[in-house]
Amino acid sequence: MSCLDREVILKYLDRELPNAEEQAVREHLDVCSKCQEMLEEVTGDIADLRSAISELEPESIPVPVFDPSPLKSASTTGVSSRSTRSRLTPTYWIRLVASLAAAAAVVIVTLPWFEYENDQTNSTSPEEIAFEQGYLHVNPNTAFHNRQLVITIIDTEKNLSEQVVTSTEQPNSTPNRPSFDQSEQNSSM
Amino acid sequence: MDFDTLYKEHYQRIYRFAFRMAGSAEEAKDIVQETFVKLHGALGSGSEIRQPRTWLYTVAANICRNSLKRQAHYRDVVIKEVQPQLIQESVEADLIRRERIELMKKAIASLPERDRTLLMLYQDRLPYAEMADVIGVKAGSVGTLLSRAIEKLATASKNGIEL
Repeated sequence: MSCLDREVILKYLDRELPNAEEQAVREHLDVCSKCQEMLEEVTGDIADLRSAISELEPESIPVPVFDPSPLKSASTTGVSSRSTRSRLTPTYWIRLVASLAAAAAVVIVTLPWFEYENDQTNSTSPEEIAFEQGYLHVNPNTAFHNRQLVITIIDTEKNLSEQVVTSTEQPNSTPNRPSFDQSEQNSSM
Repeated sequence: MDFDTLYKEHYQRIYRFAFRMAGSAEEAKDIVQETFVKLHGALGSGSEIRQPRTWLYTVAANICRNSLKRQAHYRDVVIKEVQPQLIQESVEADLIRRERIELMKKAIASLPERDRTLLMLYQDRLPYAEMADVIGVKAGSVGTLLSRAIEKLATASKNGIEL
C-alpha cells in the first residue's frame, strides 16, 4: 500500500473506511513512520478544531415549552421576510383595504375639525368634548386596546353630530401553522 | 415518533448547532423555534419524516444560511460571545495553544458557509452520510471537504494567518 493522504487518515480516524481498507491502513501505519507522523498531525488538528468549536458552545438552557406560532422576533431577518410572504392571503388583502378605507374615513371626517380647532385658543379634541358631554359611549383606552376606530363628528357649536365605533377585533386564538416549504428541503429523508 | 418526543430529544442539539453557526443565543433560539415550527407543520400535514435528526439539521442549516447571509457582523459576534475555557496546562504551552485556538476560531468564522456548516456537524459527530444529506453533497465528497477544511484551518492557525 502506498503512503496515506490526510483524507484517508481522517476517514480512518472517523471509522468511515470500509473494513478491508481500514485493515490495510492499520497495517501500513504499523510499518510507515512518515504516515504515523501524519496520523499524529491530523489527530492534533482535529483536537484543536474540536477545542475551538467547543468554545463556541452556548451555555445550557432549559428546553422551553413549544409555541407553535410563527416567530415574532425580528432578529432573524430571513424569517421575517418569510413570515411576511405567508401573510399575503386574500383575507389579509381584504383586511388591509378595509383598514385603509377606515383610515380614509377618519381623515375625511376630521378635516373640518382641524379648521375648527384653528379658530380656538384652547383647542380640545372631538373625543375629549364628546367624552365630557357624555356622548362617547366607548372608553378611549378600551377602544385603543380593542383596536376600534371611533369616528366622532362635532359641529361648531360643540354638539355631537355623529359617532361611529367599529366592531371589536378579537385576537386570533388559532395559531398560524406554516406549512413546510418543500422547495427548501429534500423531503425524501 | 410524535412531535413532543422529537422536540424534547433534539431541542438542545439543534440549539447548540444553531448557536455555533449564528454566534448568538437570541438568534439561535429564533432559528430553533422556526425549525421546530416547520417540523410541527410538516408532521401536522402528514409528511413522513424518516430521519428526524437529519431533517432537523437540514432545516436549521438552511435557516442559518438564509439568516447569516444578511449578517456581515457574524465574525465579530462569534469572537465577542465565545466563552473562554480553562485549560490545565503549563502557562507557556497554554498561551501558545490558546493563541492557536483563537486563530482557529477566527479562521472558522471566515470559512465559506458550507464548510463551516460541515465542521459544526462534524463536531456533533454525525456520520459522513448524514452530513452529506444535510449540506446536499454526495457522501463520498464529505471526507474530501472535511479534510481540506481542517487542513486549511490548521495551516492558518499554526502560521498565524487569517483566512
